[in-house]
Amino acid sequence: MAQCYYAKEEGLEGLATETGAGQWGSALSFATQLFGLECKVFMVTISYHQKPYRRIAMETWGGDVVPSPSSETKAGRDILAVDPETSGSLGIAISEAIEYAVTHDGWKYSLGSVVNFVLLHQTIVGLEATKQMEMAGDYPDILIGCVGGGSNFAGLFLPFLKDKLDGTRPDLRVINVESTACPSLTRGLYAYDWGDTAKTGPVAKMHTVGHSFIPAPVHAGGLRYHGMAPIICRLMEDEFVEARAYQQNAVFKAAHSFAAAEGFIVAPETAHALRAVYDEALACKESGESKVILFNNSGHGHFDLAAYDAYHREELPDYALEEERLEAALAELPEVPA
Amino acid sequence: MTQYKYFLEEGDMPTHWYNVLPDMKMPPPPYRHPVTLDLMKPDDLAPVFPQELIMQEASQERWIEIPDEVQDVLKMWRPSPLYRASRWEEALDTPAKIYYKW
Repeated sequence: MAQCYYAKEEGLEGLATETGAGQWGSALSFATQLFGLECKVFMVTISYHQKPYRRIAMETWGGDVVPSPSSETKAGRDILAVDPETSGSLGIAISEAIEYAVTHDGWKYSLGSVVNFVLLHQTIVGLEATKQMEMAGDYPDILIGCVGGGSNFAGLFLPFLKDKLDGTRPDLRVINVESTACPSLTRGLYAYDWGDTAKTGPVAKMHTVGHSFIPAPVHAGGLRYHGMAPIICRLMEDEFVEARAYQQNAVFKAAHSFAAAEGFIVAPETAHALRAVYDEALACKESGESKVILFNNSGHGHFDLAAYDAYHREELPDYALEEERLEAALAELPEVPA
Repeated sequence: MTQYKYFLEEGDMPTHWYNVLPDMKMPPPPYRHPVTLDLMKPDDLAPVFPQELIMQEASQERWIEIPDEVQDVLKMWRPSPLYRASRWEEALDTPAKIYYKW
């Protein structure tokens, strides 16, 4: 909403964006309508085909959605020329959205995560939660959320982390959970890298698996981004937050446990957070500690039932990520002068 | 009896966003230009992002006001509830208290 507001104030006509699983694309498709803007969404192609109803929802809200890489941009055409069967990635979709924005008068680029201002806008989530936890009479010992670019979880945890940064709550734990298919925080390098695959966007210092890395086609499309919010990465380096990664079957097991008890069928991305909550809750069972765990339920899984079906049929793959693949992608990072 | 949900009224919605940058022990290093790899200037970002967002990106203000029009739109579905997952706690047989923000 905030990005659309500032775009409208500036007199723009439209915003172009990327989306993985489609939550961000949905948000922008609707928000642009409220502010009288047009919306172009480049949706990572594997997710575009895995979740057709998500695409239809975006179109219902007014978004013009294309699978990325597409033939509508040079960035997309270049990728398709080399690998026409690619599953795509958020890095590629970002390249396309930026190119589309700068080549169309009256358009600019909107993005769903990573940069500081997106995390800033998302803090409304955590600011509400701090008041609500007060109402509940509890304060979290552990905060847990899934991270693709980092904005949904940072939105929740930053207002609480303020208390750790000023020394009031030194023992607060913040666990960022990612997919083993795209392990920026747990297996990446803290280094400068392009934010997009075509190397047209800014270069940021962040935990990265490499801008050319194409993650395995896991259902958690929103977690398939090579980098991570620079704010989260800096906090990791300074040991204020921590990270872990899980495979698909582990997260869907936790998602089932949650759905059976609470009725909520979560998105595959959110299931990553659930698995960490599940593990921490079982650790408390072992130790007898009554820790307070707060997690971000970042989205429902109603467009992802095919993934749940695959899990039920024991046909959900767990992908190994060979070190050589990571090394190859990490060899392409820029050499930034000191 | 466990309370399952915690609600805020629309009037209780935050009026300012929290900017962590001034509170960080060390801020993230500034962005570099994609071609020259020099420090990026605000003008470099102007073709890509609206101006106000470029300023917010590097702001050192701890609290940034949420524009009235944005607050008004957000109130269509915010504040969102906080839930206590007490049935999941029971199923896991854990002494932990599990909350989630929807």
